[in-house]
Amino acid sequence: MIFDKPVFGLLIFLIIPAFLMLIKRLKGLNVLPKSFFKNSSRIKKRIITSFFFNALAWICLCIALTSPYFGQKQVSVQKTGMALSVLLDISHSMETKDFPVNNHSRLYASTEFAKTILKKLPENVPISVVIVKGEGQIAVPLTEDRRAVENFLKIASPQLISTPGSNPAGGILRAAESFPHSIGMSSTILFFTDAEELSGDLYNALLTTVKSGIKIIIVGMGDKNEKEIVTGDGGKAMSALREDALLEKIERVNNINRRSNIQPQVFYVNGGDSSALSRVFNLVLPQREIHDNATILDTEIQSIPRFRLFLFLALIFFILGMLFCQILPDFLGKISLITVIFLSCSSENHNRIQILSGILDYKTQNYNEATAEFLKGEELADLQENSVLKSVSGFNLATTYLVLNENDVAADKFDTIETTDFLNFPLEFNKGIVAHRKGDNISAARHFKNALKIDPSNVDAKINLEIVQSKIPMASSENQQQETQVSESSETSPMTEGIFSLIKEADGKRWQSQQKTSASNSPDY
Amino acid sequence: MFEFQNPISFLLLLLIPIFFILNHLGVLKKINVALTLGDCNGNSSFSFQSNSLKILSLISRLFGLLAFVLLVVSLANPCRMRRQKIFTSRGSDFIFVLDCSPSMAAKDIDNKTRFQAAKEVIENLSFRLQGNSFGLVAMAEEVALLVPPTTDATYFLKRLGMLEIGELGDGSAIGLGLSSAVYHLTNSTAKQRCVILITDGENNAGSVSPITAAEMVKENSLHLAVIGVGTKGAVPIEYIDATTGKMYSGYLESDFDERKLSVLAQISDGKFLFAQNLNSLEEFLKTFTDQTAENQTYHIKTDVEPLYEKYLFLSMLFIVCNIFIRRIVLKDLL
Repeated sequence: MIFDKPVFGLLIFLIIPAFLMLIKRLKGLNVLPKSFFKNSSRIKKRIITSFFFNALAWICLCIALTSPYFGQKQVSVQKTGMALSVLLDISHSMETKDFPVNNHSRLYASTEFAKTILKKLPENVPISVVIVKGEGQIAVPLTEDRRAVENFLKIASPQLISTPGSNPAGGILRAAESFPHSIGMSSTILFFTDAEELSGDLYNALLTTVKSGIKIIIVGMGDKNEKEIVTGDGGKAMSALREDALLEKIERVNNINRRSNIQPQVFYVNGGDSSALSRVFNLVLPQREIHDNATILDTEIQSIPRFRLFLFLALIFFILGMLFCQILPDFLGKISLITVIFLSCSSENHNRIQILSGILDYKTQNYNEATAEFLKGEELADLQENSVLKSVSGFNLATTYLVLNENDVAADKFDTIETTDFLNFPLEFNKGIVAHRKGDNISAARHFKNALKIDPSNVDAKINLEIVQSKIPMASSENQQQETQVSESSETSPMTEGIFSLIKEADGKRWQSQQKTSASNSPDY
Repeated sequence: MFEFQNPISFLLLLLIPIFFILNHLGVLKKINVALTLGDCNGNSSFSFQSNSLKILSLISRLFGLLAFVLLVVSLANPCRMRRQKIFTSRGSDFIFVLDCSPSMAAKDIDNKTRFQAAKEVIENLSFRLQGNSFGLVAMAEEVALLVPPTTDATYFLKRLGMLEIGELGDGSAIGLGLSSAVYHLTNSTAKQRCVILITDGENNAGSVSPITAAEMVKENSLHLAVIGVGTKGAVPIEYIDATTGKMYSGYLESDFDERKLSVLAQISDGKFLFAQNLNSLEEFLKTFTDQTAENQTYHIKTDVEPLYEKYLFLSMLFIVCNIFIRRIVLKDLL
């Protein structure tokens, strides 16, 4: 269980003065002669029971106030295209010349590795560069401007950040921040490091980042055998690729995912392996994402908030406390019976409730939640082999995609739905809308005609049919116009080339002028 | 937008009238301490004699009631919903080439310096055109790409905010500034790529002629907007040099030739404005970006900010007050 605001848990200790007061009151009752009260022991029992339930209720309220989370759920998220953040560890230990290939420094090997990967990536993949030493900094924000990225990679050095140390966790979190919230892209962090960790909590940083749906690929640079290095402050320290410690953290994070049946999201590749480049490339750009701007359904892991459970328990305990304190005993039995009946409601209709919940989300425009509910509904219907519910869930899911403008996914989904009588008309109607949005007015017209065959009285279908039919003759000429726009292969003149090399040089000089030296007593390697 | 995610919980409020009805019917009974002394009316319900105690008893009941209501409100899960556009297609690329030479500190644009006015319109534009990419080239005696075209508006605005007059020396290398923007836009996959030059001076630095740079803009099919900011005549000027920390103040004789800037727009088939106030600057940029910004597809993502903690905290506060009054002041047993 995780608590967002654990400090509120301290409120639980207010029970102690209340308990002391209870003891004092009970002692006070003992002082009175027994004949003073009728059934004095029963009164004491009631007081104690009431206190017990009220204390339980108070504990539940305090826990609810700490924002408790436990358990995880997968949430479907639509993503279009991919974005990559190159995270470079620029701590002093990365200057050690022990990279297995050519004995380059770890940092130089990292930048060369990154450049090779970037060259292979499609041009429309935006890239950010984040550097980390004692703290993480965004060096180049998410951009398609490969020239800016490459110019920076050429001059990466420990002098770019003055904060001493090595804080890979800070780098991971900063790299995650470099993906703006407004882009619906599949995000990956490519981290080059020797895993020397002098500050921060890498495990928690990995966990937090993975939970927000970001994939992390860590490329280990350097030799596993320790080597003496010169630190930033001129001292000496032993440094190596701390692979074992890193793998242990990665395994812990991935195990959490495995427990929720989610694919691991943190990967490790030793940069010195002969197949490292191809492995990293395959991890950065899986086959499904190679198509330009293909829309994919990704999953994000979310912890489930449980405050409502504790609030509900608190309410029950308060009521129980009140009942034991005030209500007549024979009435208690009746209440208990009603409660038992209420709580023993059957869960047979769970998938119908799932669909209903999805529809509620859809109506309140929580489309991502609706998508998740319909997906679950479809899975449940599949397990129960209930074809009608499966079709209904599938149809609702496809319609939600349609509302989200994910026309390709919606079209694929509509095609896989098994038709049932009551779905025939809406299925044809929505297929018509998808076809129209995709510019295929001929298919759209066919679907609207099919819909009208099923329900000839439907005015909306008639109107849509007229609209798409009126667009059919115009469609071909529009396509021709669009094709001329996009690709303009510019052949640059020698003068332009000269100016560009001048600017490239100026960009490099500017980065170099930003280099700083650190002044601190903290370990710096 | 404020919303309850679990409104069905409000049905629990029905327990309040049920409680009062049951109380009235005598189903709920407080413990009546039956005293053995006959003259104390031990079997009748207890009531406070003092007015102040009566009021305190009433207040404690009110606190109890409020605590319950707030608890139910918390259970209904009040949330603030923020709907955010998630863009699924590529927008346009805009690179601002911003003059940061000392003359931009002249205070003649609606009581703001030219530099402040330029920064303000750029900021407004980036808010209005979310989903598009914005880049920044700072230009004075030297030229520097501060931000490559990025969708990361937070980074862009932060870096824009940090830019100061005099950071790159005295002078205006307009040709070099424009060339730098062209260099960083030529490989972009955006359908519309635009350069917006904001300056108040003539080209007097750098090794590239503005005419050559304007031709490069045209050669690479980029859109160019040239904006000359400032008024003519003597204008007050005051700025602190970013490198030396020295403060300069006085009057600047402003007489730049806008025709030279308009030529750049003509060469590149771009637009030109001689902006003497903030409104015309805003209007011009709005028209220019409306013509060049791409219509992007997007879906709406809803971020939910839970607010139950505030209500729950209040509820717990009322509970504590209620218990304090009942147990300590009124000395209730139960």
